[in-house]
Amino acid sequence: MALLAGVVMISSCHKFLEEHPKSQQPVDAYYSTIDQVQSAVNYLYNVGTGPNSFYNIGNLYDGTYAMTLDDLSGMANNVVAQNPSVRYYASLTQTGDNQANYVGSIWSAFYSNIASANTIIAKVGQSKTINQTDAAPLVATARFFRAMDYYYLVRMFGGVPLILQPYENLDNLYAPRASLDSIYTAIVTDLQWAYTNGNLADKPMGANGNQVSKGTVGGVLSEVYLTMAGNPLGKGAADYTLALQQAQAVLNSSGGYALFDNSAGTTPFDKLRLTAFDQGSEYLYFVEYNSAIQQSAYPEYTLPNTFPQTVPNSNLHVAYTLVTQVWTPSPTLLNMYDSANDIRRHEKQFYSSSFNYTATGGAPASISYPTMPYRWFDSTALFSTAASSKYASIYRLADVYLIAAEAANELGQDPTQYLEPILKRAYVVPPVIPAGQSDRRNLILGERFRELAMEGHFWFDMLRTRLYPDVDAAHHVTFSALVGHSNGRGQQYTETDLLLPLPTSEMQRNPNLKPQNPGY
Amino acid sequence: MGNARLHPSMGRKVLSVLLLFLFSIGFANAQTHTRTGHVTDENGKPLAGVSVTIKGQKNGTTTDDQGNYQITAEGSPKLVFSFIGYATQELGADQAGMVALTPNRVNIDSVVVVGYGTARKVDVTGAVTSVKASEILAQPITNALEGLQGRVAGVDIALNSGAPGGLASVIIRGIGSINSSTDPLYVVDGVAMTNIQYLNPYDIQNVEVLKDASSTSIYGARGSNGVILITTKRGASQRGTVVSYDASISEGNLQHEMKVLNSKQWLQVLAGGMANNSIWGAAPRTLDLSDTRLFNADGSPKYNTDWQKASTRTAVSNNHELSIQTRGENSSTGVFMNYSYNQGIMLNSDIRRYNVRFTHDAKLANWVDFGANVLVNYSKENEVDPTTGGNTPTRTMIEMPNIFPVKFPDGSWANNQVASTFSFLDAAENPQKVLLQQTNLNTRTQVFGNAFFNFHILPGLDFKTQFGTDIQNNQKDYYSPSDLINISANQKGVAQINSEQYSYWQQENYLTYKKTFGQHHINALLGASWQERIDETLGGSTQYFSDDYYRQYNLGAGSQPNSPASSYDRWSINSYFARVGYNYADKYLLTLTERIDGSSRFGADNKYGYFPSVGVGWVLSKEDFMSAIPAINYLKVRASYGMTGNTEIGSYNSLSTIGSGTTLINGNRAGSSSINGLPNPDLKWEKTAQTDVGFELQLFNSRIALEGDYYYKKTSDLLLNKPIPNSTGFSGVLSNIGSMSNRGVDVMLTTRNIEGRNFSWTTSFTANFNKNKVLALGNNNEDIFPGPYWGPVSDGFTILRVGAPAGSFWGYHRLGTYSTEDVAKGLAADPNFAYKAGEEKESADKYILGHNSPNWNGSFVNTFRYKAWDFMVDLQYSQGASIAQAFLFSSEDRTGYSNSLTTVLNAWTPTHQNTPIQQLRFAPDAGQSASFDDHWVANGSFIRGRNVVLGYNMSPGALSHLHIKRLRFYISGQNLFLIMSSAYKGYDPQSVSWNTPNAPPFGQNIEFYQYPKARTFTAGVNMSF
Repeated sequence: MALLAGVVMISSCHKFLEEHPKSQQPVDAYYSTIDQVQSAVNYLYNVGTGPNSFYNIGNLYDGTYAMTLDDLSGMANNVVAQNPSVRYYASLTQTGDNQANYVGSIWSAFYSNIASANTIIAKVGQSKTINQTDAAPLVATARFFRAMDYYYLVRMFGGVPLILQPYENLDNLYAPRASLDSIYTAIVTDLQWAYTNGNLADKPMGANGNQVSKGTVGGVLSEVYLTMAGNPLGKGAADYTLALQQAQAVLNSSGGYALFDNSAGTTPFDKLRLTAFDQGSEYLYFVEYNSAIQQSAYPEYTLPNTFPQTVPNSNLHVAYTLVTQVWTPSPTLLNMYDSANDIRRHEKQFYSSSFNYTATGGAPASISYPTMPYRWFDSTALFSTAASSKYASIYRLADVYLIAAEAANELGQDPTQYLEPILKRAYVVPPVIPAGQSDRRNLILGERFRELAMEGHFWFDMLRTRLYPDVDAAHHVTFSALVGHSNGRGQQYTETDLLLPLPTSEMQRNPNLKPQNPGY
Repeated sequence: MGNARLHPSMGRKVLSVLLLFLFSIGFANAQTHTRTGHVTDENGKPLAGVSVTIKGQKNGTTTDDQGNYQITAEGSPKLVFSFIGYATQELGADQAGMVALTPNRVNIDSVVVVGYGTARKVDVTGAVTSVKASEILAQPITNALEGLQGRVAGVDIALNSGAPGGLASVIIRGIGSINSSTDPLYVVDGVAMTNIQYLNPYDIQNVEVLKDASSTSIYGARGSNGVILITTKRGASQRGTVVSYDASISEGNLQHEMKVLNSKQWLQVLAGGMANNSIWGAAPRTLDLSDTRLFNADGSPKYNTDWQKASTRTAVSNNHELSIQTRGENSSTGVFMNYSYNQGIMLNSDIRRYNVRFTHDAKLANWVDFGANVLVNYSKENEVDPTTGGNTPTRTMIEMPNIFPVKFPDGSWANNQVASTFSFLDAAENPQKVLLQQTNLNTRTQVFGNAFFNFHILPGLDFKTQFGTDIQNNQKDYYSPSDLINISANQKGVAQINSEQYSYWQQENYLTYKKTFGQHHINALLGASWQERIDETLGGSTQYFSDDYYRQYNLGAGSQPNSPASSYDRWSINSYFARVGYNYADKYLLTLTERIDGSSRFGADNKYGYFPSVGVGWVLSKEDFMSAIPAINYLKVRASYGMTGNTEIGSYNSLSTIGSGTTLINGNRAGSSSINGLPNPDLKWEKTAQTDVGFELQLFNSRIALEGDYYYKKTSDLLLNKPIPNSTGFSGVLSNIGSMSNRGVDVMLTTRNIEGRNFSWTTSFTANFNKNKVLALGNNNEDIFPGPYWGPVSDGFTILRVGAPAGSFWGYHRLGTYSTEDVAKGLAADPNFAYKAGEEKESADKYILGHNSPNWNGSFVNTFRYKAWDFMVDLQYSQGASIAQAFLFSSEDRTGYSNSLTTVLNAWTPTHQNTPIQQLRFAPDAGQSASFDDHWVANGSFIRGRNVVLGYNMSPGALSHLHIKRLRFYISGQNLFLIMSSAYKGYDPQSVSWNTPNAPPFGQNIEFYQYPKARTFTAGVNMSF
């Protein structure tokens, strides 16, 4: 009996209790081949993380986070706004508490991207098996994403924890807020490395297999300099110079970057809409969609929810079961355009207010509605497949021209050569570029609103310049101080609004984040 | 009354000959009558082995497997019927044809199943409750948990859905865990079963629920949430063959409808909202009633469709159980077959289940016994889309406006987008069409069984080795056709197949030693156990079908396949256990238990956990000083303390691993990978220390039996997804942090109020009071918001906060609506935001608004017997839980997108300002204001008329010529009535809309529409040959 019991008890079972996962892979052995690193870099493009999540539609009624900032800027409205958080920004009633979850999601999405990028950068650096030259474009891409992540975080939240090494255990979890300077330094260091040492292809993103190119990095870096020159760092001339030089480097590159032109009977602005041109020469950075793999929901924002599902007297039927007005231009924004002279404001360029079709029997028919964005109008998806491949544009060459123009003007130089290509294609009769620096500034900044609408730039431009547009009846745009200005819906911006509240849940998790941003 | 004519078939010949032979020896020369009769339990189920003696004589007999006896006696003496666990009855021989015995709830000689063996009830120092098959089967059920509901104090079983095959939640003595499972451990014939939802209830012989540490710690590893031991029926208990057949047919109907607006009211509400457009700065709008398919020329609606009626039906179900049990010289065999077809009241929902079980027990030699048990279970379930938030039929049957018909006169289906004048509605498909055309099919196959050898080494010393296995294959098929709008029309049809296959085995070896030395009784156990489970899943889905012909049967026919998916998961447990039970003179009891468990799921240095317990008992009624109180015939007090553990977390949580998937790059899927989480090599067991003090009391010749327990459970080292700063890139790391307590009282009272020859009345009352409290959380005791999360309640419905119960609702107070006076006085404004009159007025801060588990719950069961009739009334009650009616978000706080509850007729107007219902607005233009507040929260207390049964037992004499030993007919009604708060607007205040198997229990009582529970009437027959 004792023997029997002994046999039972003695059997060693260490092996029996070991864990050997098969559908997941242990971290230690990973990041040892170029293919594994490529796979890790691919993740950075995922719409669930990093900058791409900022431009990806979550709940259809809520739009993207970028659209919520457009709401905050007063330039656009989310008419339905099912999520109270979206409404709070529109009415400037956001608080740390009522935003805990919403800003928490933004925060987490960027930091998950940062953690992945940190791991790639560190592991490749430590690797003895990976050829560093071959890996350079991958490391450059990781550094680009990490810079983008911090660039978005620092503009929204101010000083955030600056984490540049991967976490591999539970030590040092509670990182304090870093200074704005140190964060921008890290951003610039990453982007400069990627631009100079990254061995990235020098071509538009679409021509580069939809992957980050030298032009992508250059375009973003020029905007980072422009931001650093303005608020809140106020680096002024030194960084305007850097912004101009960096923008020039992209504009003068032989990589094939070019503004869309007016060819083959299609206006450049319609090309910005058409999926056939999504990989075109003007795009520097976009979120890719594909009707079969990852559908774009943007076209659902191009018709109002009152649009008839079955179009009267026709065979047309809206394929989507839901179309809705999540991003509608505000009167201020629409008023910035001279609807006669500004081609972008012509019907069915950037915006539309009617749907025209041929009724059964051949007579032309039309359905009118309040002005809606047309940039994402994908008629195949809307009336046939309900599955759109329309990319979401974030940075394109027009932005770089305007950056160069703005930087040159701020440096007291003539911005004409950078401004003209934009004006020439946008107007029936291009406006005369004024002589004074201040008038030019009004024109350039106004042009940014008109040209870069629907790409998520409004609020960041306002933060950078601390200026808010005012429009007169002749569509002339002037600017006055952002703080104290009305958002067009009856509320006034205060200093508090210049930063979003830190997520209170994150502050609870990490007491070193205190204090909360002022006013919250 | 002559000799029963015993048919020689079915092996009964042997038995009857044997019986006659025995009688002929005992009474060979007497002048005698042979008397026969039938003995049953209180529910009319036959009792085998009941001792039948003639009063004043030693001679007697016992009943056979059909409960029949035959005794030969002179004249008309009194017969004495006695049986372990039942009260002894004396009846005149002429009145003893039909005898029903009533149970002694606690009989000191009764035997209960405990972990790894049995013990006399008197020796048990822990809180163990036994439930007999007759109690479980007192109502027609297809789910064993349904039968267990309300039978055991301290076990809260919530049947959260009326769907056939709907999941039940089982919580024993409160929620004791946050991130890991709170399901008890189910052990069927010694083998752990993952889910007993699909076990055939007819297979159950008895159930033991182990609640305190003294009884559960022998299952240390997995005992924290309590243990439910199920013993199944096996071969016959006496030589011969018994054939039993039970059948029932039932009819279920919707118990009551939710109150929604009719067509005219809805159009008024819609117009009322549109008329308010100007308040919201929206363009003016009026109702367009021009569509002649929906409206008459005068604008009145043509239809007033009752969508709840259109989506439900009278459900007709049936159930058949056939069993054959035999016993020979050295072996016994049982074969049990069950077919049940259970129709749900929502269209096209049903479950068909086929069960076959085979048991064999044999005495192979004097020194070894063998037993085996194989169960094969196959079921096919048509489910109603169980997801939450979308336009599923459970939602659209409430929210579809009544102006739309089910079908137009031309036979075409309607949906809410058929009229362009109503295209502003939140696009929803016709619920009847979805129910009839969408496939949600679950096919489950289970092979479960065990085999053992029991070696008799020395007198009292046995060695048992047992191998058990549970192999399951679950497949979920989904097809949604290409024309279901807002479901699968955009995708032109969606087909999906997901399958999960898991194989579990366990091997256990243990020694048992039972010995009596004078007054000392010893019952000891020493053993070891190995368990392993491997779980593999496979799934694929496709969309864009050129037609709907193939459904899910040809995934290749869809032109846009999604990425296929598969996964692998393994865990293992290795354990050693020992227990010593000591009893001195049946007065003083001691149980010591120790279990050592190793789990693969924990960090390399923390795999093993140690779970000791101690239990003591004192049978006071055996003491001399108690004999002075004759009213007390049994009194035991007992106390226990011990540890149990919880390992029910996912595998690989202590490791840091890479998760891989794909990302869209340049028009193709490209492999992508990222780190899943931070490693925690320190991850270890969650432990629960439980103290239990209880007593068992029987009064007045056991006519009153009372059992009560007080317990205090403290769970520490909670397996908690400890929040860490998201700046690390991760939101949490599974850690052992924090603690939580449950304290409460279990009471079971059974009284035999009247015990007459013709009439008896028994009452049983169970109650559990439980109070849960979170004692500590992460490093900084941060609040944790464990969800469930939902778009409009993106911060989650619940909060974990130190000092409050787990499962507390977290939201605003609704103070009413803003009045015009508030607005005029500037009271309706935040620093920046001006509310409009008629908008909801909410507190500035959030509060705890109630909790989702009851304070008190239990049952009250009365059983009556009058001659051949039996009658039972079973009431269930629950007090103190709240229910969050999330459906008010779209059915009351929002109008213009869908139909609403009639409560919106009480909306705010300038002349009716004192109301919590907001002013009507047309949401497509004007949006809505809605947040999770206490207006959504209702008192979830209820009393349910759970089961009423009326049965009639045919007298055996009348049946003997049909060779039927027993025949009982019954009719019953389930869920006959429900008494609940009028503030609750849904179907049933015990429900879950956010629930997945193994999810933390915080979704309980949060409802965004539910599958309604039926009111069911059943007729059935029980017979045996």
